[in-house]
Amino acid sequence: MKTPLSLAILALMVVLPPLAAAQTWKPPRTPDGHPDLQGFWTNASITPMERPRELGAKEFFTEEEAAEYRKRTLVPASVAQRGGTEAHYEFTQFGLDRTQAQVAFSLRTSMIVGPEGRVPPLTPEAQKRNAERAANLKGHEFDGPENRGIQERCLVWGSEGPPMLPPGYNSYLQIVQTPAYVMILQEMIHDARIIPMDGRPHMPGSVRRWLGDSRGRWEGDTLVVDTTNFTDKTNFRGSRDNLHVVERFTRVDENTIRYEFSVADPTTWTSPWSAELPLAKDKGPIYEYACHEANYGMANNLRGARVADSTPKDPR
Amino acid sequence: MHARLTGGIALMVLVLTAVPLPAHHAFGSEFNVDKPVSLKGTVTIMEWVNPHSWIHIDVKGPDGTVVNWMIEGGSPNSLLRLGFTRNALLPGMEIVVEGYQAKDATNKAVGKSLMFADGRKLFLGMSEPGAK
Repeated sequence: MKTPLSLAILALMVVLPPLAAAQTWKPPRTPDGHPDLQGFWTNASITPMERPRELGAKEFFTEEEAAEYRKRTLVPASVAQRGGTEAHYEFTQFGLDRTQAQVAFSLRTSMIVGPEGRVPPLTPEAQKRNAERAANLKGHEFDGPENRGIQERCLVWGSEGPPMLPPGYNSYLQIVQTPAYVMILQEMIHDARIIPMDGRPHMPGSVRRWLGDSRGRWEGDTLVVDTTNFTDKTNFRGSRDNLHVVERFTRVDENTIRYEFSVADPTTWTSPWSAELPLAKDKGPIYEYACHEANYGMANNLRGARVADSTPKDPR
Repeated sequence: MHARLTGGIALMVLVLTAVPLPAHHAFGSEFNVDKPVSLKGTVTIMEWVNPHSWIHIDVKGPDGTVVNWMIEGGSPNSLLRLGFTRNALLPGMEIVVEGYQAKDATNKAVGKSLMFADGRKLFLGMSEPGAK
C-alpha cells in the first residue's frame, strides 16, 4: 500500500513570521510604486469567526498552544459531523477535508479582534426582521427555486462577501492590479470583483449589486477597499442592503497578506466590529467553478420535495 | 492553567468539528438516509462538472437487466488539485458505491464511499491517478 496522497501533502503550514522579520521585510512593488499583491492566495482557515466563550478575552495562542490546537483540529471528521447529514459523500475522498488543504494559520483564537471576540448583539429591529423572514419561509422551503438559498441557486457563494471568508473548500482567490483597478477573483464561485482606484464616488443608492459596490485607495502600503450598495438578498450575519464593509490588505511577508475588515450596519448590530485573517500565498492556478452548468442538486431537491408532498403523512 | 487551557482548546475543537461544512446544497433533503444503497457497476461516463461531480454507472440486476445510475460526488476542482485528471476514471472501469438513494426515488444516489472492485478507494490513497 502506497502512502496516501493526502498524507503526503498533509497541511502545508504557513505561519506569520516573528514581528522583527516583518518589520525589516520590504514588499515587492508594481511599476507605479505600490506593494504588489498579485498572485494566488488561500484563506483556508481553522480559526473560528467567533471566539469560544471558554477562552474569555484571550486573543492569541502561544506557539505551543497553537501547535496543539492544529494537531487536534486537523483530523478527518465524520461525514455526519461535517456534512450535517449521513447522506453525504466522504470529504476525504474528494480532497475536501481540511487535512488535505493548504491552511493559512494564525495565532488568533478568533477572526474577530478585540477582547469580546464575538459578533455584537443584533438590534431589536434586526431580530424582528430575521424572525419575520424565518416565519414567512417556514413550511415553504422547497416550494420552488426562489425559496432556496442563493448559494444553492449558484448565484453567490455565502462566504464571497465582501468581507471574504473561507468558503470551506476550494478556498482560493487571485488578485490582479493595474494603476486604475484592482481585480479580485474568488474560485467560489467564480465572481470577479473589479475595484476602481481613481477616487470616484460610490454608485447612487438606487444601484444595488450582489457583491456590493467597491472603491479602493492606498493608505501607505495598505490597500483599503470600501464597499456599500449591497442587495437585500445577501445575508452577512443578519446584515443585508445596509452593510458597509472596509477591507484592508497589507502584504507582511513573501507568503502572507494580512486581511482585515470592519463592518458596520446600525440597522443590524448594536456596534461595528472588526476581524482579521491571513491570506497565504499559493502556487495556483485557480479553476473555473461553473456552478450553473451542472446544478442537478436543485432539481433533485425540488423533485424529492414533490414526492414527499404526494406521499400520505404518517398519522403517528 | 495549562490544563484549563487544554480543556478550552479541546472544547473549541469539539465545537469546530461539530459545525457542518457549508455544503453547496441540502444533501439531507436530496437523499434519503433511510434508503442506503450498495451498487456494483461499470462506469459509462464521469461528469467533471461543478458544483458536484457525477459518475454514471451501469448496474446489472440479478435478472440481467442493466440499469444506469447517477452517483453524486465532490467538486472536481479539489480532485484536480490532488492530481486526478479526466483519465482517472474511465468508461469500463468497475466500481463499488456505498451511498443513499435520492428522495425522488429515481436511480440517483450520493456516493458516500467509492471503491474499485478490489476494495481500493477511488480517489484516496493513489499516488498516481489511475495507478494500480
